[in-house]
This record gives sequence, C-alpha cells and structure tokens, in this order.
Amino acid sequence: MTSDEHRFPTRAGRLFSFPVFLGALLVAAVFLNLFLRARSDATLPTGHWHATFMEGDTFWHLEVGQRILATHHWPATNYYSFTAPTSEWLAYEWLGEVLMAAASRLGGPRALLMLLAVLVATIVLLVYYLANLTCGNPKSAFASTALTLPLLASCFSVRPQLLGYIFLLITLICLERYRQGMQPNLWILPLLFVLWVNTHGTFPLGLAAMVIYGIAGLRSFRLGLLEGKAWLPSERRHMALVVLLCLTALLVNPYGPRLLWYEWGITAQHVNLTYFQEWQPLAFNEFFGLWFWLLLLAFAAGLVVLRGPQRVEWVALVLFAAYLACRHQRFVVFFAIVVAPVLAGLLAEFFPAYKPDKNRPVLNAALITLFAAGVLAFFPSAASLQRLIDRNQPRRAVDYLRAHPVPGPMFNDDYWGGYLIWAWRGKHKVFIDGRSDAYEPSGVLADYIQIIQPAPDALALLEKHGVRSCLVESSGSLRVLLDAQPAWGRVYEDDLSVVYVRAKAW
Amino acid sequence: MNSDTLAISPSLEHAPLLPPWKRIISFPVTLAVLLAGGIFVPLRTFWVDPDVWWHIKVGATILTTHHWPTTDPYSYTAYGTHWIAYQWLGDVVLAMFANLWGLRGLMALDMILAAAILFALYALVTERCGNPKAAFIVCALFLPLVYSSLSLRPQMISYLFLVLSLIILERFRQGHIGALWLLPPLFLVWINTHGIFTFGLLALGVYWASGLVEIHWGDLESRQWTPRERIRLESVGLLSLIALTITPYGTELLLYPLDMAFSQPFNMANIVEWQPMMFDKSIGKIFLVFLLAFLLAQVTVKPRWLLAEWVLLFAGIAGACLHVRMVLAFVPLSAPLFGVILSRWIPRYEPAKDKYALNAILITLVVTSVIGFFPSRANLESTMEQKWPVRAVAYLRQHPAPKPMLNSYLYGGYLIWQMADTNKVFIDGRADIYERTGVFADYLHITRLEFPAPFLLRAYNVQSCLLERNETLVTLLAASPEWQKAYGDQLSVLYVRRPRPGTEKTVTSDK
Repeated sequence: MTSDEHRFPTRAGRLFSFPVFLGALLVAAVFLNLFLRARSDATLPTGHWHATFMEGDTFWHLEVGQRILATHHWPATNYYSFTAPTSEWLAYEWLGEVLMAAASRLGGPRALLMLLAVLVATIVLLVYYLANLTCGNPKSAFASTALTLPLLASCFSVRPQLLGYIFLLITLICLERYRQGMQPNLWILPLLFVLWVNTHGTFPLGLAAMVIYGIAGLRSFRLGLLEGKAWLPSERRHMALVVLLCLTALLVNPYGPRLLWYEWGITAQHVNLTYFQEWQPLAFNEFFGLWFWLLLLAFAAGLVVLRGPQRVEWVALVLFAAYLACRHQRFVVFFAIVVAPVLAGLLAEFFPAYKPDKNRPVLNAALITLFAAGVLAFFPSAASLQRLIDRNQPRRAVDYLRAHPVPGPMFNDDYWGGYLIWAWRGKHKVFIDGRSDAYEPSGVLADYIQIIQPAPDALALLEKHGVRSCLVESSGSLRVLLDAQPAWGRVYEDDLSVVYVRAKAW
Repeated sequence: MNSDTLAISPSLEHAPLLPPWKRIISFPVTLAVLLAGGIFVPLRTFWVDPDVWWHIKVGATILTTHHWPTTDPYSYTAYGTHWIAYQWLGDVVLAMFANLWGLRGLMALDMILAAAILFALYALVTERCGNPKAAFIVCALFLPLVYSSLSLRPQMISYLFLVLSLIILERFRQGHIGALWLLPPLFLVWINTHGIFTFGLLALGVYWASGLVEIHWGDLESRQWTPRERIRLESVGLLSLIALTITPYGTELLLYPLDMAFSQPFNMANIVEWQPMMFDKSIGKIFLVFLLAFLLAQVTVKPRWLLAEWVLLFAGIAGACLHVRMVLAFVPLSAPLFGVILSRWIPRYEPAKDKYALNAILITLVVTSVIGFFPSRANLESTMEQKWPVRAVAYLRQHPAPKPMLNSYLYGGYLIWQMADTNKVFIDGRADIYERTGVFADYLHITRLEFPAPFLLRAYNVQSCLLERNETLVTLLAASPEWQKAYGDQLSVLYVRRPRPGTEKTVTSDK
C-alpha cells in the first residue's frame, strides 16, 4: 500500500480529497473567467483593441491548420500575401495550428473556446501541481497559483503558445520530480521536445530550465539563503545525455534544421520586436505590470522577512524570467510559472500542513459538482461568440466586399490580415497579417508601419505597392489622410472599418 | 564588527580631525571631484529639457514685475485661465543665470547643480556605509541613472534637496539630532522650487513611523525612537508642514502634487517622463540590472536592513517602474543600500595612507579640464540650432506667419521664451493648464491625426503650423490642397493655410 492509500482508504476519497478540491476551484475560476468574460465582452462597443479569446492571429493559425489538413503539405513561402509572396515563411507552429483547425472544424467558435478553456485549465493545474511538488503544502500551492492567475490570464487566447506553456510546465515537473528522486529518469523529455518544436517556439525556455537545473547541481553549497545540491555522477551523465537527445529531437520536424534557423532569425528581427505589443517591455502602469511588480515585491519581502533557504535553480529561474518579462511582456506567463513554486515555499510558513484525516470527500464532491454545473450553465452561446468576433474583426466589411468586389491589391490593417486570410480561405492576398516574421525581411513590415502612422511617405509607399483599395480602421489616422485625398473615395463604412478605393491607377 | 552589525548601525568611522587643507585634498574629496568630472563629459552636450525655456521666461517676468502669475499669459488656447508658477523660485534662479551669462550661464548652472547632486549622493552613501571607496563605486555605477535626471530645469534643484533631506535623516538616525532642524528651512525653499518636496515629506514620515515600535522581522530591523528623538522628529515634522504653507500662493502649492497625481490623467498617460520604465531603453536596462542585482544580493549576502530604508527603497522602485522620471528618487533611496552591500568587500579609507600631493594634482587636473573644455558660446549656439527651432523663429521674425499658429508641444517653451510678446502659443510644456482646458486632448487628436483632427484645426481657426518635420500631422498638411509649406529646415517645418483666390501667395523658403 502506498502512503496515499493509507490516508485515503477509498478511491473516491483520493478523487475528492481537499487538494483535488482546490485544483477544481482553480479550474472553475478559469472556466468562469473565460466564459463570463466572453459573454460580457460581446456586449461592449466595437473596436479591435479589446482583447478577446480569438485575436487577430487566431484566424491565420486556423487557416494554416486547415490548409495543412487539406493538402498534407507544409508551407515554406508566404502564400497569403501579395506584398511578399516569395518570402520564406515556415509554419513553425503547425502542430498547434492543426489542433486548432480540428477543433474549429468540430464545433466552430464554441469548440475553440472549449479548447482554450481546457488548455488554460491544464496550465493552471500544472502550475498548482508544480507548486505543491516543490513546497509539499497544497494550501500554499493553491494560494500561490491563485496569486499568479492574473498573470497567467495574459495568455488566455487561442494560440499554439498555450501548448508551449504546457510543455514547459511538464519539463519543469519532470526535472523537479527527478531532483526529488520521485522519477527515475528523464527519457520522456526528448519525446516532449519533438512535440514542442513542432508546436511553438518556446522550447528554448525548456532547454534553459534543463541547463539551469544541471548547473545548479554541479556542486553542493550554501551561500546566504542560497543552497545547491550536487547531482550524483550518474544523474549528471543522465541529464547531459537527455539534453543532447532533446537537442537532437529538435531536428524532428517537417523542415529539419531549417526550422531552428528560421526561429533563431525571428529573434533578430528588430522591427518586429519593437513594434508589436507582446514584444514590448512590461508596462507597469497597466494591470499585468502592476501584478508582476506585486509578486516580485512579495518574493523580495519573503526573502528578507522569512529568511528561508532558497534553491539556486529556482532563484535563477525567477531572476531569468523577471528579466525576460521586464524586457518583453509576453514572458510574464513564464515568470508566473516559475514564481509560483517559490512563492508557495514562502507562503508555506503561514499555512498549516494539510491533514488528510480531516478530509471531507463528500463535501468536496458536492462542491466540485456544483462548480461543474455552474461552468456548464455559463457556457456562452454561438450567437454571443459571433458577436464577440464581429466586435473586433471586419466581418461586415468582408460581406460587403464579397457582394461588391473592389479593385486590388488592397491595403489592410495587420490585425485584420489573419481574419481576411481565414474568411477568404487564402484566396484574397493580404498586404500584411500577424505573421510579422514573414514581412520583416522583405521590408514590408517597415513600409506598413510608415503607412499606418501615417509617415510623410505613406502615400508614396501605397503607390510603391500598387495599392488600389484600403480596408482601414474607422478611427485610424490613415483614414484622416485618405479623407483629405481627392484621389481616394470611401465606398463602405461601418463603426469598425472603412473601405477606400482609388479612383484611378497610380 | 560583523557584517550584520555593520549594516544596521551608524557606521561612519570618526577619523581623527584633519587640518582643513588636508581635508580639502583628501582621498574622499578627490573621489567626489572625479565623479563631478565624470558627469561633465556627457553634460557638455547641453542637454536641457524643452520646458526650461518657459521656466526662464516665467522667472524673468517675476524678476521684472515682482508679481507671481495666477493666469496663463502665454497661450491663445488657455489664455487667462488659472495657472500658478508652482516652481517659481527655480524659475527665478534659471532666469538670473540666463540674464547674467546667457547660454553659458545656463550651462554653468547645469554643471553646478549636477556636481552638487553627485557630491550630495556620494556623501549620503558614505554616511550610510562609512566607506567612501564603496560610495564612489556605487555612485559611479549609478552615474547613467543620475544623468537621466540632469536635464536643466527646476527639478534638478529639487533633486539636490531630496538627497540633502536624506542625509539629514540619516545623520539624525546616527545620533546627530541637531541636523534635523535644517529640514524646515529646507522645505521652505523646496516647496517654492519644485513639487518633489513630497518625497522628502514621505521620507520624514516613514522614518518617524518606522521608529514608533521596535521591530525585528528577519533581516528587517527598526529601533524605537527615544522619547526625545520622537518629540524632535514630530516637532520638526510640524514645523516643516508649516514651512510648506509659506509660499506666494499659500497652500495651493502644497496641494499641487495631489492635483498632479489625481487630476491630470491625460498628462500622466501621454508625457514621456510620466510613462512607465522603458526596459527596452538603456535607462530601463540599467535599472533592471540594479533591481535584479539587489534581489540576488538579498539571497546571497543576506544584508540586514532598516525598515525605513527598505520601505523607501520599494517606494523608489515602484515610483521608477510606474514613471520613468521617478528614477531620480530611486537613485538616492537605493544607492546607500548598495553601498552597504559593497562595503563588505572594499577596504576602508585610512587617512594615514592618504597621498595628498597626488590628490591635489588629480583635483587640479579635473578642475582645469572642466574649465578648459567648457563649451564656448559659439558651440552652445550651434547646439541650440540643432535642437531647437532657432532658424524657424528667425524666419518668423522676418516673415510673420498668419495667426493663430499651431506649434509642436516641444517647441512651445522655446516660442514663449523667444516670442511671447508677439506670438501666443497653442501649447507648451505646462501640460496642467492644457489638460484642464481640454486643449491637450485636442492637440493630441490633431497631431496624431485622429478622426476629429481636420475639424479641430478649423475649430481653433489654425492658420499656420510650426512642427517638427517628421511629425504625423506634416503628412496630412503636405498632402492636403488646403495647406502650403512656407518654410523648412533640417529640424522644423512651417505650413500656412493656402490663401484663397485673389489674396497674396505665401513665399516658400527651404533652408
């Protein structure tokens, strides 16, 4: 009998234990957050600056996935645009895109929302599990996971990166279990990296975590609060071999080493990294920035006041993640993932240990059932999800353009490029879309930024690309410029978008 | 003495009193002079804030009229609305230097204030850690962050006052009770100079509150004030509060920071210096390195802190994260803590081993270099032409543009300084009045080419626009048949509304 079986004589007792109840509570919070937000957001006024569960990039991911499912072929050029049709573009997140496309085929936006909810709930549960694993106290693990939820919420949109975070968490859990002797080996990690490299570009974080764990165990030491425990020689050899296999596993993808070069190239795309919000530094006057700051303050205060020993690998991961999050706000999720176990360890000072003999499985089961019922009751209708999409995406303009074709090529907002690709199944070639990596090398991204500002050479750049029509935001600056131009006429307008057509050729 | 005790107790060693000439050329003084010399190099570029020009004009007006303004006299968009010169004493100092010595006077003032700030910072860190060598290294490391706050404006004087107030509080903590009496007169001058007096008040309040009870929380400690110390602190606090009401505007200056913090959201959201810390810029990267280094030191070195300095440090970090300009508070609040950490590894200063002759040579070398490389008037004028619309203003003097004229936000202060008598501005750096009147929002709509821009240009009856040549609005004016370019140089461009048929044509002049 295992120790758990001693504490929980029945299977139901284990299934409805207090730690499981806490996990269910976190999942319910996530589901309700997603569903209620989707329902309430659908009633907000139009404007594509409102974040929703399906953002601009979601749509081109769907189209790419559908295309791969239909053709069994992995794209290598920018098939979807007229500005950079021959530029290299690899579907480096193809596995995630195929999963998204399959869900969409199954049940449209409702299935995508459910997919999102399941992925996010998995992330939150894994964070909770990891925190519990490191501190051994489910109550403080729950508290720390709840504290990091607001940061995790920044990734609540249907994108392949969610799978990347799940893989990162699995990697950290495997490493931690191996460190604690709960897992005999790490052979699962190379297999995980095969999936990871085909799903999202976050796999370097997993490699970094392995390297940090490896270095942290080079020797045993105690320095202030920091402590490191040396690996056994056999463990060290095993870890080195696993890292080597993981590196080899990265080559197992439809593009081979070309994919790795391509993703490495993106990190050097200066315009891409400075223009797009998710690559911007963390803004401390916004909610995510403030919450990040509070967690960092809590970490620092915990170190000073509690003076508990800290494992060097976790401190290194927190500092590394804090640095990345400050530089690029998209890494705030990585920070949330690695700070949760550390906070759980600090909070464990305040939470009494969990006592299985005081468990109330019946009450827990009743509450979990209640959560499940509540979640199902609040699942949004297909109509409200469509309203939500219409609030951000130019569906009405696309309907108009289908009925009244305008001369092309057509300039479009980058946020809407994905939707246009998806709505026309790739037949309408866009000026630009969210795949900014495909547009930077050819200079189209830089041109786009000049046009949308609009910079003094905006009109010349429209001419350079032979643009004959424009689909732009109704409250955008480019609209004011085009309104002042006798050569451009407005042919369609709603509260979100405007369509302009140039009266004569350039 | 173990390191923990070192961190928590008054730590300045009382070296035997040296003769004055030896103190002047001692090694710690040499280090201070080297710091001042170090900051002179970047300051030679004559980096002034766009607001400095209207500050000079306001100061000059006060000097001439002996009257403190209560309404806006400089703009046509907010003319006559309530406005106070809340930094009037700083404005007067700037105006005096500008009146007496022109641009070279302003450059000298910038240098004097920068050197004074660095000396004070160095003194503060030395006071806290008792090790001038560690203090020098810390100040040198902080130099890039200090530099970011050294653009000439009344804020620099306020920065100096902030460091001085922290020195006074630190000396009080170390038992020099009399030092505290300097705070009320300091606050009296401070409130009339700049709004950062609130930080001094906050520091005083935190010091007072942290000593109300004895605290030992892990590595955080706080010693309870003796009744005599507490009464002294409370008396000085009360006197300081009274001093804060002694201004030409009564208590209005005291409340101004609150108005700024809570009633000017547009200003906060759109002015660069009020933006959150920019971690993609060098200032943000350096700040981040300090932040992470502090956390790392906390784990590895386990220093012990005073509750008050720890609370103030986190206020400083929070302030800098929220508003990049608050890095000026982060530096003096964090540098002493870094000094304490660093002093563990840096040997202490030993006066007996000092080499006074070498010090004297170094000091002389730095001072003569600063004097020798002080920019000439021609250099400064050339710098002005590269940064400010000097040539556009000269053109406007010869060819007055039709009014009202819309001007770039950054040019407003310069136009006030140069042309206040003949030309009222649309907007300038006094964002507070423009926010209250709604002009700032309109200005942003216009210059960002947001939807109502063309209507707003007509609503304000704008007849000419003096803009930076790469502004978005220039795109519209250049492409619009209603507007015509009248002047352009490398920096700025002037557009005027195209005359209606039958009226005189505007001359185009490209420089």
